[in-house]
Amino acid sequence: MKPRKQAPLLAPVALLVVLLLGGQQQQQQVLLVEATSPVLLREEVRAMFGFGYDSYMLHAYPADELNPLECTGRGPDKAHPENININDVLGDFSMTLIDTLDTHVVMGNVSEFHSAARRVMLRKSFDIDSLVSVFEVTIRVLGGLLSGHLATTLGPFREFWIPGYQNELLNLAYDLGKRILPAFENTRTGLPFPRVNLRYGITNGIINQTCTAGAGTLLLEFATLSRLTGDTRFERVAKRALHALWSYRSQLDLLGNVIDIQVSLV
Amino acid sequence: MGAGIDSYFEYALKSYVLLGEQSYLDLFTEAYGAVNMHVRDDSKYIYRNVHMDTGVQLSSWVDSLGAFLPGLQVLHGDISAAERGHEIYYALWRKYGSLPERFDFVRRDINIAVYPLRPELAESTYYLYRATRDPYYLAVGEVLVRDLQRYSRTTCGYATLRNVVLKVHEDRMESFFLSETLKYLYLLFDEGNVFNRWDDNWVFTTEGHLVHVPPRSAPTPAAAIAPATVGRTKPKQQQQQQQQQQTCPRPAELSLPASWNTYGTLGMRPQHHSAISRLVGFENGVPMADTHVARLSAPSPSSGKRPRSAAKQQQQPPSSPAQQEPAALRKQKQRQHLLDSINSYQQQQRDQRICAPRTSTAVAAQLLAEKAGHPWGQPSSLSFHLGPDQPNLLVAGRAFGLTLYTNHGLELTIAPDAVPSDWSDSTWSTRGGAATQTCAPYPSTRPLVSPYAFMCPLALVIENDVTYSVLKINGLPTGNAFALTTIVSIINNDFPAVPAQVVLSVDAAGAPGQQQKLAAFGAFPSLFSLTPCEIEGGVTGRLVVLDSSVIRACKADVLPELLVRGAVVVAERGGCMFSEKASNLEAKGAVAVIIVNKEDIAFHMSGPGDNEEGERHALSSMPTVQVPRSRGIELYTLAAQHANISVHLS
Repeated sequence: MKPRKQAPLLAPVALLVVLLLGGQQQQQQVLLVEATSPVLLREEVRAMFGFGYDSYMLHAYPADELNPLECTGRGPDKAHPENININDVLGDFSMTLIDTLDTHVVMGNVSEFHSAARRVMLRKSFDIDSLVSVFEVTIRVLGGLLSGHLATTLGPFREFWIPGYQNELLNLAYDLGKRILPAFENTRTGLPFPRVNLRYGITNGIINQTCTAGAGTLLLEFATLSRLTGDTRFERVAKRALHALWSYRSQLDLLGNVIDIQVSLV
Repeated sequence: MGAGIDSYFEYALKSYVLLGEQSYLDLFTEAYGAVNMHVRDDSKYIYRNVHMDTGVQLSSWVDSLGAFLPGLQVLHGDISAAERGHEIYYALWRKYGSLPERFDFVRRDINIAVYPLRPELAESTYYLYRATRDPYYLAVGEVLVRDLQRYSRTTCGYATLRNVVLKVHEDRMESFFLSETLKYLYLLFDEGNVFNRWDDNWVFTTEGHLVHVPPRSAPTPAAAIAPATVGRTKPKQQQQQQQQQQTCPRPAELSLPASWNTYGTLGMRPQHHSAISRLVGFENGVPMADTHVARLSAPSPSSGKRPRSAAKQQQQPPSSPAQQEPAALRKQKQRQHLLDSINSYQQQQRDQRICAPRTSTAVAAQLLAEKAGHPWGQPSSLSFHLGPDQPNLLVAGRAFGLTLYTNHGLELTIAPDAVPSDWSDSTWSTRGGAATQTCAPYPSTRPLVSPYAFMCPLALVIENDVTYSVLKINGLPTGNAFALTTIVSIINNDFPAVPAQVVLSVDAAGAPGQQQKLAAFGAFPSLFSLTPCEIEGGVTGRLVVLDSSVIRACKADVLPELLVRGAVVVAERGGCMFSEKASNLEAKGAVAVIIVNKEDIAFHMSGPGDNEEGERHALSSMPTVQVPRSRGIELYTLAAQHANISVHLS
């Protein structure tokens, strides 16, 4: 049994609430159950994270994800390129490690952040022959790198600063960003291709149709990247995509769920 | 507002917060206005899928991804809309203990049942709590934590639920579970967290990453990519500028009271009940029971529906003056409501041809009568006594299973009212004074009478002729019809209400085609497989008793496939999980498995997913049942005496 905090003052308070609700609603609701203190819950969540993360590091790393039943690692499904459920997301870049970087910061775990960041920094570039979703790789990997970089350089996180840090995380983000950029080239609408190969860019056979969220959900990461590196291309293309999407709205000011990046037919 | 388009709106508004450019806010305001006009339904609870040109509704489902919207609405300052939308998704979570990927609000049923540990509901809960500081949202967060721990935790992580009704695992843990779901829950409970205190334009990306940029007035030059301390200091002027950009309404700072919880972890807010009931099909909200004690005496089969001992009300529930006035009328209504509930439950089971739970109606009726004296018939404390003259309860090691039918996993704590004189100290200490048993919803590959009706079997060993009190029932959802009919049935492996029947027969000597019945007895079905009666016509196969070297069926590769194929196989308990034995034998082609217990009792065998630590194996359509030791010996004896015994399970 987990320790539970008693709340002796609860009964009168709740009775008052019952009376205030009055009438028919008195039969409804306002339950009195002893509640767990937020601090204990916070610690339980921390333990949940620790359990999941440690398992990933133990059983899966350097793979992208943990298989929680087999206790093994999971990477892209190279045998089945059409398995986009997996391959859009996983690209052989230890994704869970990168994605969780700033969670260590939120949870105040300095040593784990340092050790995770150092592992990420072992990678020098994203020169991987991997066809991934522009949307997924941006939000999960680029965003993870940027927030990790920000945590170690900005704000009140002095203890999170990595000794001898040479902007490795930002450089990695910059490298990844440049590998995503080809998705924005040669599209008539300004909307990006939905998928891009990190090594070869846009290759033949990449489909044109993209979902609205996929094309419109790049700006936060891209603008942050531009502002941090001074390379304005990222913010420019993402902003163009956001506004381009809006220009294809209907007369009711509504957007479609999917859009063709070349002809803009929705 | 779900998959495909969700984060477009999010990024329009958050880009404004991050970058401070007016054009993003204009774009969001316009788009959001159109959504409110054409996409939100009249109830203002649901955001539909409509045709972008005509505004005509295209479908009647909502995506779980849409649960992010309340968080965005908080950021936009539209708290009341956020509360309504959040309540719908939370009701869905409460209904299933998880969030189905797609839900139809007209059929009030699931379209896509998967839950890949998505963060959106936790995210919205976090935003709403930061904006309102209403402890209700802390209670919501606790429910999320409990259910994640209960249903998704595995031996080495947290698993996607392939089906939120059956709570079956899929071998995947998406990275956003760690990086978002748990991050938002942590921030929800961590009042003092620096990100909750810090007043600046940090925003969460759609993946929950915290990003921040210095304002445009001071762009970092390209050269800064070289080692440098990027933007570590911030002029005061910029900070003021950013504060003006704050779009999140900031209510007066509330200090958290010592007793912060004025809502239970079970309830939902009354003002939303009707909408939730209509759109989600989740009735909810009954007061938690208090101090009422009902007494239940198990009737013997011969005594029909007459309870053995009369109800004794030991204590009246404390009630406010407002509650006392219509008490008699309300009590009558409640009793009727309970009886209606149980009747409709049983009727639905008949209608849908589902294996009946075979509850003793007499017991259920007795319990209802006992409960009727209590508001909403929900006893927090329930005790029962098994008389010494109960013939059917004395056999098979004086033990039986206690089965509760409910719509959710629950935790039951029972203890004897007094330590019996013939119990030794060691007996008492091994029981620890009180027994707590947690059980998961009953897994079945068949459609149940309702997606939220589960059988929750317990395997407590309970002494005969001792009065027990149910001290606590945690996790029992209140308010809907099935939760109200918490039926307690008492079953025994020789009791007529036993869930599985096993019949052994052989070809009669001298009369080909004629079957001679050798034995018939009851058996306990497992929780990880179909019950035999759930299979049309039952299951039939020849009886095979494995060689003693492999009789535990724990090593798949040495099992004799030729012998096992098409047979009802007898295996011994021990050596490995019940479900492993079953899957090993199923792989070799067995049609059913009878497991012989080490002791002379039998119980419902649980699968590894039934406790919080283990994983749940795939559900099996091959029935696995358990019999007590004495039955096993009978089986072995018969198998030695006769060749070609045919076994029928139903």
